[in-house]
Amino acid sequence: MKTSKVLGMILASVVVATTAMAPSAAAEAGHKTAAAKTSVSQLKVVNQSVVIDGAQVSLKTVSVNRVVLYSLRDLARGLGASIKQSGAELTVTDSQGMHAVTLKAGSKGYQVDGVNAQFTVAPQSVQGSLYVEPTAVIDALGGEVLPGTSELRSTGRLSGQFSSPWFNAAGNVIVSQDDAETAQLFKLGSNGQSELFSDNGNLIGATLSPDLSTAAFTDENGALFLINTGNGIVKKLGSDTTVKTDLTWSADGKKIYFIQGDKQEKIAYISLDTAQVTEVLADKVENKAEVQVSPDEKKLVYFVNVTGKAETDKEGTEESLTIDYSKAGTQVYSLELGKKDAKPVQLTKELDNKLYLSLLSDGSAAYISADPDGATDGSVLKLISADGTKISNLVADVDVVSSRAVNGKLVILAEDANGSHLFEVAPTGAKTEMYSTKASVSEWALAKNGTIVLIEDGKVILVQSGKSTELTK
Amino acid sequence: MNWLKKLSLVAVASAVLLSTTISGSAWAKDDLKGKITVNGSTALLPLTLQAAKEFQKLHPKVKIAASGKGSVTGPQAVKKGIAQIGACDWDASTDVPGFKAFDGQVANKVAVIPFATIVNKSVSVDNLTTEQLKGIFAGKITNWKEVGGDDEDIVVITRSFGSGTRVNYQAKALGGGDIVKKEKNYKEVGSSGDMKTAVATTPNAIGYIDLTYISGKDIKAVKHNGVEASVENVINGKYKIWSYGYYMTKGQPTGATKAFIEYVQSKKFQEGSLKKLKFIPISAMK
Repeated sequence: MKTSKVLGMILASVVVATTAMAPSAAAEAGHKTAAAKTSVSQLKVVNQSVVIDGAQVSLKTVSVNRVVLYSLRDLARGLGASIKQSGAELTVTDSQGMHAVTLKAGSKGYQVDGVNAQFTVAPQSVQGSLYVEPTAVIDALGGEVLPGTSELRSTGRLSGQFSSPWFNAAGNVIVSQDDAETAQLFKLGSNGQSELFSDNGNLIGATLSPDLSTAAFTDENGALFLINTGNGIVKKLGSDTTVKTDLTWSADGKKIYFIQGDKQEKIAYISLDTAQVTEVLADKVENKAEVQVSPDEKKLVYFVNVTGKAETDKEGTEESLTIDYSKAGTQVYSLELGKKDAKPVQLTKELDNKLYLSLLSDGSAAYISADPDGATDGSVLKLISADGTKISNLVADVDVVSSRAVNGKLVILAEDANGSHLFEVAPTGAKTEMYSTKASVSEWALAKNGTIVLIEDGKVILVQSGKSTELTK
Repeated sequence: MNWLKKLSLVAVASAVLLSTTISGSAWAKDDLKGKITVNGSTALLPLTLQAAKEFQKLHPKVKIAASGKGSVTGPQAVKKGIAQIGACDWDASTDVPGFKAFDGQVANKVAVIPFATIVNKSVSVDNLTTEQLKGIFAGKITNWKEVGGDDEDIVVITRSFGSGTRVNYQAKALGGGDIVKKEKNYKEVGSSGDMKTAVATTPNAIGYIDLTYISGKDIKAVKHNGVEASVENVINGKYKIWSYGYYMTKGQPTGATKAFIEYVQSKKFQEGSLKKLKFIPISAMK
């Protein structure tokens, strides 16, 4: 069923109308509307209430052969569009001046940005007002009728494949569009209204400050930048250009910790106040990753990616080449920053894949363990006790896809036969479901007020109070 | 758990499920599994490890183990069947000076790697021509004063035979010239990291390294034929000492190996993490 019919049906069922018999101006003008078998003299003008851009608006409508036509003047006013008349032709232009629709009473043919198109029902002139098929005109002006609702938007939702969602301090969602020609990050409102936030590709994967007001990112030269997530203003932080990865903010938002060096061999932080970089650990162990810092900054946990060992004879002959991968894998380490002369401590020994390291408020650390050689198919959430002596399964009854400590809570994305689920996980391992869908969820973010944003099959979904809204299509 | 408690939990779970919206889209579980081993270029090792970290978040059941021992060991390991991917700083499916082509292997471009001549901070020279570099690495120019510097012996640091950095440096910085072993003021090192350390800690030393490794105050890059070693000059064609980095595979890659290589070649990785590790995306050279 076409959207226009759905809209017509929904509006017809929702609207309480005041009606009036109207003479037909089109008839007076001598137009013959073949599609309009209903006698124009019998057309009733009905006031209908619809939502445009979140605001309730009353529009005059007429129904022709069960197709609801809207007053062009009312519709244009609601959408912020302008109308110009030239002889019998009317040209409607959207508020941004991006699109123009040219039409006339009694003619099914119309033009969108100079391209010919056809209405199902020709525009009708009734009581001196022109009535048009709303969906065709809204679409042509770059707007949208939300599927399954009577809600209209003056600007249509973005369409495409999106990723890397986050919330800013104002509660807007920021996402990057993957299928755009160049990197583009958009700010989305709760109704799907969008504006370009940034075209700086380095922002993708930026790390948010605890209060969501600022995101930190690096560029191809290793320089560190901060962006105000509200107004998009970028400023450079310091002059250090060493390679920096895995940025993470301190709980008070005053420092950014990171893995440093071309072999990712150090851990350091930069002070937001002084822009000075301070080395925290330089033990010559290479390939560190995912550093996490405790709220009191007395403890770090991080991954070390242990490589295999390749050996050859002095001549480097092919025959002599051997590689030992028996110890290759990711291991978890901790470092007690609060203790003088403390050395890194290796907390794990197994060769499973370890992902998504989180340091919890009680000093314990959680990570996702996936074992390609294991007996079970799923990935489990493991917990390393605060003293580092015990590793246990925290969640093992679902396939854990990702996990993150957010606002002091441990939240996981998991999959089972019923689809994807977002759970809050208690220290006991008890799960509380926050959201569930049969769609494939790849990424998620949580706002402080509990609002969730998800990427489902590339689309951005906002979940507020259990109600989900597709912010993109 | 007693039946009443069970029933309550089921009821709560149902209520939660009912309150959510069910999308019509199909839910697809990621079933990609496998083990991928990557050996070869130490220059490409940080890129491989970063990509592995990101790829495993998308495909947690894929195990990726990496090692670095110089470019030639990449295609060698693939030929011997002890690695699925051979990371190599040259296209090892073709002949290059010093190395025959590895038949049956496919070269998958993954990055652009700029290289630079580096000197110890004690060296006052900031530009060297191809001819001067040829003379230095052939052992014919042995004192910095011969190329406009101080009256100090030149200490040559070079990568071991089989290094991709060495193959590319000889071909592009030395114009095909040789690196001649000397009795004194000469040292061979086995990795990019060792090169950086050796030049940084040896007064009057000269060496060569991937641009990404250049940092700190103890080493500095020198211009080549008057052109600064920079990403910008590689992309605009002025600076010639660079090569593609390749993932060599035995025939066309399949399964998890294919998926991993495609991830490394994806716009997301190339324009994101790869650039932040100071490599150049392959698309930049088109």
